[in-house]
Amino acid sequence: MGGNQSNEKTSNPGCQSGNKINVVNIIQPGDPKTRRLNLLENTYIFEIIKGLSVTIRHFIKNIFNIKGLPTITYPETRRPLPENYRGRHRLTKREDGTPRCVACFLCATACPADCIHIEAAEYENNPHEKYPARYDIDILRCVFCGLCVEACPCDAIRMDTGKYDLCDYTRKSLIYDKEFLMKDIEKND
Amino acid sequence: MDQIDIRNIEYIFRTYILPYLPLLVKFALAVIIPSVMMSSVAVLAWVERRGSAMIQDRLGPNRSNIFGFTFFGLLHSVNDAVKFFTKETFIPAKARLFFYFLAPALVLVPALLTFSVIPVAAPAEVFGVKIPFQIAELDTGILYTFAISSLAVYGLVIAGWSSGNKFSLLGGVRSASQMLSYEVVLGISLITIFMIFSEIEPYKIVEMQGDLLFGIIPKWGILLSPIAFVLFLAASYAETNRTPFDLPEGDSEIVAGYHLEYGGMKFAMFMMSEYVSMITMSAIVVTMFFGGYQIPFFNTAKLNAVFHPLITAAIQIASFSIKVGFFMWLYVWVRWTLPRFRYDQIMKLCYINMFPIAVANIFITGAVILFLNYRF
Repeated sequence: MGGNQSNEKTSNPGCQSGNKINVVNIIQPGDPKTRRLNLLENTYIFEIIKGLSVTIRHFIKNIFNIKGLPTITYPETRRPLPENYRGRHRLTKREDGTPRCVACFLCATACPADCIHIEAAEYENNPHEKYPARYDIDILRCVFCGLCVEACPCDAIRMDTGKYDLCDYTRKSLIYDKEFLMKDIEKND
Repeated sequence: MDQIDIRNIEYIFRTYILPYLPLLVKFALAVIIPSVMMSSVAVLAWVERRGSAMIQDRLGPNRSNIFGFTFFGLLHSVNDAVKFFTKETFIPAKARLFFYFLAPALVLVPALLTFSVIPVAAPAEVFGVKIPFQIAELDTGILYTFAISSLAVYGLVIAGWSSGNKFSLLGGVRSASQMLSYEVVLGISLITIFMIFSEIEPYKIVEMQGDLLFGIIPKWGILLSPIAFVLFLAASYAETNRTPFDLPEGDSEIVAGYHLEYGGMKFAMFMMSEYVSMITMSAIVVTMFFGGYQIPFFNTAKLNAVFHPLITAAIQIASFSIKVGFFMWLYVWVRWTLPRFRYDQIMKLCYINMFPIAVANIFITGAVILFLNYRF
């Protein structure tokens, strides 16, 4: 058994038919690691009392300090999110309120889930720039990879809303349109 | 119309009501005790949920509320009751209908019956009439409890068999073999107590436990026969199918056990019978080993010297309830501490370890009693 132990890491014990399967991690009877229970331990009683004292200590500690429990009562209190947490998308705006998006389709191209659908249109008074007439994100398809954010040359789409409880009763309401994505984010929305 | 004579009322009271007062009290107890036990099931379910949560560093169910008041999660039990009553009555295709519906009652009724011989307080003397706080004073005493509680096995086996499901049948068979095995230990371990007090009526045993041993320590059964106490307690856990002996309900092996095919109130009856038999077992442990309703150093005579007999009874009922409450908590506490035994380990523990010790305990106790030639 000692010889097998050395090449345990290199060989794959389960697959190679020639090798004996290693059972070194299982303590077997007769192994020096095992110890027979002494008489007092064999009666269980004192061991049970030991175990009971552990659980009652937890019980008393927690019953007098319910606020100290690690449980987060979810909808009311939320875990603070890391700064680069990828939540629901939002479309950023210029100072005049128009979308920064120029409908270049880079995000839609980068999207591996194919969940961004853009219809471009042109400003009447500005021949150089396009804008998205429609900008829909099918959040049911989105995998929250953030590639759209990386692809965007105008910093028009971001995932910094910190919203992750995106649920609704219909599929249609989970396809977010331009108006919804451009809405200002309130803290307790 | 004659004026109602005040002496006449007293006469009526003395002749027609007073002789029947013990009977009335017994009827009242027969109504109150089962209803208290059945309603305390809801509280026990709450204790089990929140208690286990506290033991495991969790919060436990705390959401259901009335206008924002959660009552520490107690309302979840109320919701359970509503849910149990409004659930669809599902009948499995292969069920044997008569037995399928009979089984939950066969389990619950023995569980409720067994409490009747347990005294909850010492008999109080009011208007010269002795009022017993015990539903039935039987000559067979505690043996009645064992006789009735073993009937619950029929319910479990019939439930397992009549569901027409192999897993529930396995659960029923398991619970039958386990309960029958541990009933032996349960009965034999108590024999030492019967020998020491030379009585089998619970109220007489409790009465004797009010005395003091050597004038210092209360003469409780646990101090006279500690081995019997340990054996009885362990066997009572097996008898009520609680962890670490909860083999009849093996989620991983047999899905749920004998109540697998039951839903709604029929399932709730199995649950209730489990909790009710836990209460009864705790009551028997308290009665036999912890002095029943007795308060240590203050026996009935001493309390009666100070208080009115009815107040004494109230104090003793409170003392009894506290003791039973502790053992109920112990059931929960043990459940969330110990892992469960394997099936062969349970049988070995019963027949190879506990049974011989219980028998040896009888002989040793008998020898000691003979040697001292003295009835404790």
